[in-house]
Amino acid sequence: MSDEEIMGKLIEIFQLMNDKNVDVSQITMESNLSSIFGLDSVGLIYMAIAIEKNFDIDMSDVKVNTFQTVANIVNFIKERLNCN
Amino acid sequence: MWKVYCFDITDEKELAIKDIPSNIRKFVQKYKQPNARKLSCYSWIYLEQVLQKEWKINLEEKTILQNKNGKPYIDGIYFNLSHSGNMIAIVIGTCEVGIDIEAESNMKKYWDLKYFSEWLNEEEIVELNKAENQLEYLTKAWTKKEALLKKKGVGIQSTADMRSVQGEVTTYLKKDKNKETYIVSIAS
Repeated sequence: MSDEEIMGKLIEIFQLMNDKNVDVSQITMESNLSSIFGLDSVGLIYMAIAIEKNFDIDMSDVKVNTFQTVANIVNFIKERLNCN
Repeated sequence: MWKVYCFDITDEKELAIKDIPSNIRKFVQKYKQPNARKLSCYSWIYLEQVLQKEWKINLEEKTILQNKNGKPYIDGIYFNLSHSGNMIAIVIGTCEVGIDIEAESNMKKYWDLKYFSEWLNEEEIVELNKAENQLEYLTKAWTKKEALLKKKGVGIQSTADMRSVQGEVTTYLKKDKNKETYIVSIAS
């Protein structure tokens, strides 16, 4: 799966979680997660579950609060997909 | 021994970084989103006031220490902070403590989305399905787990942590000025 395809699926997840009128189309690889969404712990865990389901990867052992940027998540997903 | 304090900051104004006492600035600066930063600022400001008034401790005179997981404490006194919506919850004690507060509306926002309850274990999903007030059950379960993890000083880290954490907590129900319902759990 390419970076663009991963990003496209992630944007769909962010769109679902977006209740702060954030312009999701402006999100880039460099975007900081807490700056965009102010993600609280509930949001972070939801994001992890949604990524597991949408990409069919296991994130149960992953420390969700270690992701700072969108690129961190994209790289993580790529690594997990390559391991499958 | 521990004591819990809750504050409604609906009417409080946003604070500039320069107005935040220097010894607590580093704990607040990690919050980038304006409302989260405001909540964090007031958590520390109210902590300082409560310590001064009820525990006769001047936070400005104390060194704020951090355990190996970064959880702050001061010599002989343990505390933990949490915020959600317009509410701040603080627990102060003479032993390790953890606290979490969640607005039911925040939980509902995610519960309305697919898959959300998957951080519950199998037993808890059975309980959720039997619960008369499912949103209250879900919010209590979340705050219980987060308070237990925060007592350890780790906070929420993975979905596996969430499914496995077990323990006893004390739970309260609070309302803010807008009649929003919050659940507060304390682990001690």
